Amino acid sequence: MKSNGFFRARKLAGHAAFQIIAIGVGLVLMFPIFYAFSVSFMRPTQVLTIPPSFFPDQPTLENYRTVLEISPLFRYMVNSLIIAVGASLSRIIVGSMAAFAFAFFKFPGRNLLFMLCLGTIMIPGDVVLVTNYRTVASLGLINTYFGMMVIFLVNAMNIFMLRQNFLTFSLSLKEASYIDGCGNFKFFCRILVPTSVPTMATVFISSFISVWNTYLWPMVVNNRAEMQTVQVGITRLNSADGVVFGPIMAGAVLVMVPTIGIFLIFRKKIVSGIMGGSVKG
Amino acid sequence: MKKALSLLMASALLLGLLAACGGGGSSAAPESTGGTEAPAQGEEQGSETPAPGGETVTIEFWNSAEGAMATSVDALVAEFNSSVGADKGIHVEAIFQGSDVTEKLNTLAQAGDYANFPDVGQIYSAGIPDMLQMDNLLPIDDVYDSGKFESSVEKGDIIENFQRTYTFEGRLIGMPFNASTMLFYYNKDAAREAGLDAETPPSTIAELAEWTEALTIRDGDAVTRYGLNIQVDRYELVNYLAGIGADGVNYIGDNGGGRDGMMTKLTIGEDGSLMKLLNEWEKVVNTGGFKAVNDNEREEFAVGMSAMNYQSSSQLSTMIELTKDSFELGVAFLPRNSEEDAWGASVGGGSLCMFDLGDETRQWAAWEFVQFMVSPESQLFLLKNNGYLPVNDNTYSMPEYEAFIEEQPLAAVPVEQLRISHPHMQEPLDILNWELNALARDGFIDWVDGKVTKEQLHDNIVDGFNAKLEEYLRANA
Repeated sequence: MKSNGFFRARKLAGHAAFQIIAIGVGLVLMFPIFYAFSVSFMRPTQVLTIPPSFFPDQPTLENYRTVLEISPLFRYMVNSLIIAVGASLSRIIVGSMAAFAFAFFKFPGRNLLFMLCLGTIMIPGDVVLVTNYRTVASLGLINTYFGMMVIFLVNAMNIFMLRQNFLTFSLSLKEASYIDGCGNFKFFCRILVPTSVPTMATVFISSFISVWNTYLWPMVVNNRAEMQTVQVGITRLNSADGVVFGPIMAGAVLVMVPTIGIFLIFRKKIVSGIMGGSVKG
Repeated sequence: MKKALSLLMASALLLGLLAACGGGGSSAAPESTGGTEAPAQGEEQGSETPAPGGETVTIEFWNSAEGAMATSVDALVAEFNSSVGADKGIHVEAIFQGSDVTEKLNTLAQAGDYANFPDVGQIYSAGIPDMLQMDNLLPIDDVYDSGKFESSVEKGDIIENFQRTYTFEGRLIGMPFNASTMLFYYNKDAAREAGLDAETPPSTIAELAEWTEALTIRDGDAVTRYGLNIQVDRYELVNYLAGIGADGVNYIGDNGGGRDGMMTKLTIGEDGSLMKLLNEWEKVVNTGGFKAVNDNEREEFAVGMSAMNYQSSSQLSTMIELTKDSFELGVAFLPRNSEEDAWGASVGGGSLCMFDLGDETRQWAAWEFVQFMVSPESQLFLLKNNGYLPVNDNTYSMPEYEAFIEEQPLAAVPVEQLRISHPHMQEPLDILNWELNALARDGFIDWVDGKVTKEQLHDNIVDGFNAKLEEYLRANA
């Protein structure tokens, strides 16, 4: 009895310690975002003080007014939204179909194809920048939204995640449905996709955030001022020549809103999505 | 069955792609976001040639204008479009292409995509060697020499120092546009408190060392205020070196610092100039009050964490703004290396490079635009709003210029410094400029931390850079 209580207390202490560490790490991670948020409401004179202040003395919306005045940020957000949503939808469609083939079909060279597919993860994007540019330029896709998102349409990591998820399905389930007259496509659409929503949500959100935050590629293939993305817009606010911390932080906060919104919407789905495929390898 | 399935999937994929593609297109509605009022230039009439058939010619201007400069560039472009452009049928579309247009142009050139080049690009001096590799570069001297277009800005109007920055083998490659030099900034109140003569800032590095010692405040072993805070990047190093040499000018590298031909080595080792510099700077390092790391130099200076700093002259208005409530700001020439070396600073900033897109009308339009951007009025506008030194000599005789200097006397300091600088005091065209940057920065930090000796630092910079340059030249011969 005594030892039981001792173990329980130890377990409780361990649990509490874990919680405290988790909260601590959480606070450290949150701090820059909190500080950016706070600075975005500060007056310029308050930003650079010693000791630094963490809360705005007299909160002002001036920074937001400035940033929207000097940069058409909402227009840029629409551009980024088109690219991020377009690429993310494509990643789900293409990724799930490829994963379906890798998980349920047996054909010669399947493993080799899958390895090749995963191998693309190891190639850094910057290495193929010029080659990609050459291809996209000769396809006449410069200055188009499609050109700006084309290299993001498929992602091997997403295929891998979806395949792992599909592998948790029993093959006999598919065979049973086949006997009942359910073809491959019907099985894919009616059974597989609806039950894989958490994984698909994970793919969507991770893809949305990464494409939304992309800077280099959309800038390289686009030469139209009105088609620029938010990340390029934010870069333009920053400069070695002038101290405009307030407006930059206001811009950064505005740019964060859609990603946080997407995250909040899919938050509950995401955890089960990542855990889903982890058991069967 | 399988065939049907693959067909279905293929069409679904195509549909998905098309849906993703939706909303694309390339309508080119111009946006003009001029926050500040740009100068009116109604009287200025350059070329008489109108656009053929009365149609508007649209040209692209790629720039790296960020922050306050972005607002100014937008305002100047909007002003051009509504004045000269409207009269002559030219529309300029300004597009921000990241912090360095050169990088993007290099990508295009490597892919052989010259069709998507802009008509005009804003190029830093470090980017000039890259521009020389572009098949379709249209050097400014070619425009002047061909005489195809009338010129409202003569080449002689552009100050020689600025021309030299963008000159290669005697040919002017890009039109100087936003120019600056390095300046010495110091805290006058702190100088007075330390018993120094605040009106006579240090004129040599030896005096700079004395000032650094006097201005450093310590709390036990910890330094609470550094006398001097400056990270020695390539830009700083070449400025310190600029006046150490025969005839009061140091080319840093052979072939006139890469302007009379490809630079193949640093000359600062063999002519002893780097060692002369290090011998003087050793006095500063020995004070212990010299911080060689740039955490946030300008802001730390403004809040009193350091008392002296070197910054570009384009920072002047920002510095005034930052320090106006805390202390009296002093601005001076860069201290000379020693009594026997020359005063002066090298030119920094950017130029406007033109590209031949195979259409003479567009070239004419681009030339009109370039001339507008370097007109006395536009250059005055950049001086007032961004602290860039006017490249057009005619600006300095404008009454508006006189009025501005009266209002802000500190703005005259970089101009006077430029006037006494040898026109050949320039950053070298050293191709691998980032290598020199890293060698100088890391080397000085290690020196201050006592990790390397003066001699090691010297050899690391000279031998290290020359080895890299040799490799580069061998690979790209």
